[in-house]
Amino acid sequence: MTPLIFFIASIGAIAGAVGVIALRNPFYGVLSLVGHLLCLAALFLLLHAEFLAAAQVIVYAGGVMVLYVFVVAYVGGSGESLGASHGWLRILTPVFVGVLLLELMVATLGSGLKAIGTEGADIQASFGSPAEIGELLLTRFLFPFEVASLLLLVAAIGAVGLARRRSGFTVGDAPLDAAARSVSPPKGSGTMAEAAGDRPVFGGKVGDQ
Amino acid sequence: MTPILATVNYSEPWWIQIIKALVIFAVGLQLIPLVLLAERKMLGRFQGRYGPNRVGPFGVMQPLADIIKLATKESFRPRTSVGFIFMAAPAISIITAVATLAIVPFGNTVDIFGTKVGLYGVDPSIGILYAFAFGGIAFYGLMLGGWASGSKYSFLGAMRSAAQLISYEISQGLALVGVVMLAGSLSLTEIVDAQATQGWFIVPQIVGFVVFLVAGFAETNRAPFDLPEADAELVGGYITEYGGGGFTSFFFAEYLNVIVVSAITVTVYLGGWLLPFGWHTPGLAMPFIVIGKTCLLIFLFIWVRATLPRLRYDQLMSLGWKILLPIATINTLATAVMVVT
Amino acid sequence: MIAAIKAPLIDWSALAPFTSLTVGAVVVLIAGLVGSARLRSWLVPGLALVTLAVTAVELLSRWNHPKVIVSEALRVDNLTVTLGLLCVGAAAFAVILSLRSDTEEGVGRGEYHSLLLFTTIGMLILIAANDLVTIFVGLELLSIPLYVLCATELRREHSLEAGLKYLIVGSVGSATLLYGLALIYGATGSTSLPKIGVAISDTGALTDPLLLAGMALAIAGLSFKASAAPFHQWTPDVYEGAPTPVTTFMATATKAAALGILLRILVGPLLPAVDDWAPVIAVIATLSIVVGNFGALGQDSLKRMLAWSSVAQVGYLLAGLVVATSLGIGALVFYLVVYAVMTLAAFAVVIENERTSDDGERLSGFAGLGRRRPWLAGAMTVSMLSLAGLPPTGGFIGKLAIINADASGGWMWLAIVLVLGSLVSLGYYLRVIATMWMTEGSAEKTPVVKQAREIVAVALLAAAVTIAAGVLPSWPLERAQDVGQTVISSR
Repeated sequence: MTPLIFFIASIGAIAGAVGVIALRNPFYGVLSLVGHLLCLAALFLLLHAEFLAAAQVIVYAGGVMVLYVFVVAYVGGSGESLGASHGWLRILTPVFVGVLLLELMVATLGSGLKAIGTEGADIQASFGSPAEIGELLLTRFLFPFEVASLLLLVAAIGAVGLARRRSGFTVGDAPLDAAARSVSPPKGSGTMAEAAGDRPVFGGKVGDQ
Repeated sequence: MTPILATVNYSEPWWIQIIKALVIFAVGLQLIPLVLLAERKMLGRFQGRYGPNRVGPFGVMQPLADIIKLATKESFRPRTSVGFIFMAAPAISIITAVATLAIVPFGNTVDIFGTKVGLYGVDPSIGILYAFAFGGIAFYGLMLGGWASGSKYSFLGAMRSAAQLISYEISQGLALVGVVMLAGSLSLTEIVDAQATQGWFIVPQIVGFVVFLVAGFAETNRAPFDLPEADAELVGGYITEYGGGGFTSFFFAEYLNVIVVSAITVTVYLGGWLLPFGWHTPGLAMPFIVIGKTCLLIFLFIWVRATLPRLRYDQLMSLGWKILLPIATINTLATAVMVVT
Repeated sequence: MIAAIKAPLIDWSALAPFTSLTVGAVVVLIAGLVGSARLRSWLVPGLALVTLAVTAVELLSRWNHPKVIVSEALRVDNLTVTLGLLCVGAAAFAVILSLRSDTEEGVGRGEYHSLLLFTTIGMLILIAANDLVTIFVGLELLSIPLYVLCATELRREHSLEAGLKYLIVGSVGSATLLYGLALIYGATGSTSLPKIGVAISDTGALTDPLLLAGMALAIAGLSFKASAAPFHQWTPDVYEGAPTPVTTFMATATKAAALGILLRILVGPLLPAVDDWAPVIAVIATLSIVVGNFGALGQDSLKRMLAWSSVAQVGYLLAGLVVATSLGIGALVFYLVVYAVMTLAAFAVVIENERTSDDGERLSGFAGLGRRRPWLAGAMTVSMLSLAGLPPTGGFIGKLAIINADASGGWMWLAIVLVLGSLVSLGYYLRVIATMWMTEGSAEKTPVVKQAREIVAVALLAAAVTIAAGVLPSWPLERAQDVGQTVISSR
């Protein structure tokens, strides 16, 4: 059963990853990424890393991707598709990716990883358990663990700093205003301004959903 | 063939696992119509009216009638909807709800005809994180349902429920950290065992209990946090465009979530299958004790629904982020200090 | 049930530079909340400078006391001290240079300075890293504040663009590095650098394609950060768009940190694989020298020109790395310090000129600067001469040391490339000097803004140090050789 799950999950993971770049509709792209992450979690389960699998689902599928879905669902309409790359990039990119893929194939297949094709190492029951991981984080990887908390603080400071509303921000102030305009509600969505009649709808840009 | 979980101290014959799965699934689903009926009857009491009383004696057949009606309805979908996702969303909702039911422990390991059987679906070492993982996936059920309906009401309802879900999930998780620290384990059965020696965790973790319960109300989209389906504003929220099977699935998933949240609260804070005052629990009575306690909590859910008015959206958000989250954080810190010293 | 976990031993005195910076960054962040804007405008930078000064003293006290601390996560040795001092100094000068810039309008003064300190911590961690996990965490702590700092001048579209571009390209670089580190871990079975070294020399993991692929990806990832060709495309846009003090900081400290960790990985555990990585580094160095120098030729914007020139300079620095002897590393460290100082001088002049005239960042804005403000033009001249590698400046000595190391290490052709590249670079460095001294300003501009004394002082100080390093090179060169010696012997 393990090989079966492995192949289903890995095919799913690859398909999801390909879907992210191949799908033109951003919403489907995000969903594809979610599928990819869930398949990765299944692969982690096969490696007896239950905690990691749960963390993967909770943090990525349940946290990070939720924000992606939010933004894409609000901003990117289903009819809108991402622009295609053009010019020499279109030729060069596949070549580069192909070379990289080939290199990694050679590296992985020709490597000294002796466990490929075997059952893998014997592990203890506690392997990958939360207790084990907690102990590692508090002993061997104590320093990176603490630095990671610092990293989160920095990210919070940066996000708040960039997103904070500033005094003196006036309408017509590019490019913030442009961003604000592009998410204005479409006509016919029953806003109060519309019901009032003569007053213009906020943002003024009318998009057809 | 070795089951994946066999290496992590979980080994029961495969047929016991299947029987357990069937029993838990059956019991879980049987509870839903009961809860439905209880809710409608009690709401009637609370509001000074009769409630359903036409189908069968005292209206007890009402849920059955509802189910037959829903199941025989024509399944349709709006022209603006996105077919595949529209069909998949209710399935995601119900699957995640049922999957979460699997970790609720209805009892310890007991002997049934000479075979050791754990009275729970699974007991993974990550325990409660399993529930949160499926809670995270459940989000996609609502979100996709709302998005794929191609309707503004559905979409806004889905957005609201999604925002609510992720806001309250954090407080809920943090509230549980206190319990996990006290018990020294994530596994739900071990948490209950720890309560046998340390007393029910509702006593030292009363703050965590309140936060968890309030967040639980929000997570299940129950009143007073039922904004996603605020009838007056959004028609029916993300289920507006669903009828028949899809509607049934969402509806069932919602009530199943209520049951699961109650059962987990019972397990984590109210001693699971333990009886109060140190009375000994006979082996096979455990599931009934758990279900009994769960029913009491479900009554609380209904009571709250009948009593409290709905919150406004900004109040909901500030309650989640500015009140519950700090309280849960302080509770966690205090517990950590308590445990260490 | 609390399992008895043995907490790792923490040497607080060796960890002091990191802790003091962290505490300082948080204090600065809180000081940014002080109500009065006037109080804030000197309190916040003041606290930041105090923090950096304390850190510098603590770093200095660790000279010649090499030690591996906190479960072998960090190695505080002479390389850490030297490059750490370089980064801390660069941060201090970035604080001074941004004293008059309007950070209040952007992310806010407290946030700006604390982000600056946080990225300095990241650099210190990166330079001192002794473990693959530490390397990655340090790199992220270096990068993320920089992404934000690039975008701090929110109202300028270029600044936002720079931040976004840097974020995207930087993330690609980080991901590449992470992939490489994962492959190295897969090939050697350990994340600790010394243990990787043992695994490579003992078990013959050397011929493992997994290790080679990991090495290649790690080098590519760090080249993104150091902006070496062909991973340099983001550099001109980001350097131009970012606020100039931030650009100064990026051009000096980020490069030092990226080269520091490259040095630590390649000349540390991967030294047995020198025959594999040296040609790669040599090719990257050559490409950087060629691309950087030719790219800089046609630039009209001084910031863009300095960005391209920094790509070329990384090429020179990598040429020192290729040799992988204490001679080469010494030359690399020496040139890195000199490069930082002369770049600082150049950017300080650009900042001052930007403030006082309309097109100060363009080459045309420098016309007649020699007549208007001779001191400023003098500092710029010294910097340009040094960047071009003409005597009697530190740049000349540094390049000579690198050429010497290359020639003695059997990389004669690389030395020739370096010399030819320097010849090409004269084409744009001398153009700046000529514009400043030989052309008249189009119209006599009256400076609307008061001249900033501290910026002029920084420019003059940096120019003086550049000349001093050229006239009296023996002491710094010997110290640099010490560093090279410790790196080679400590593996």
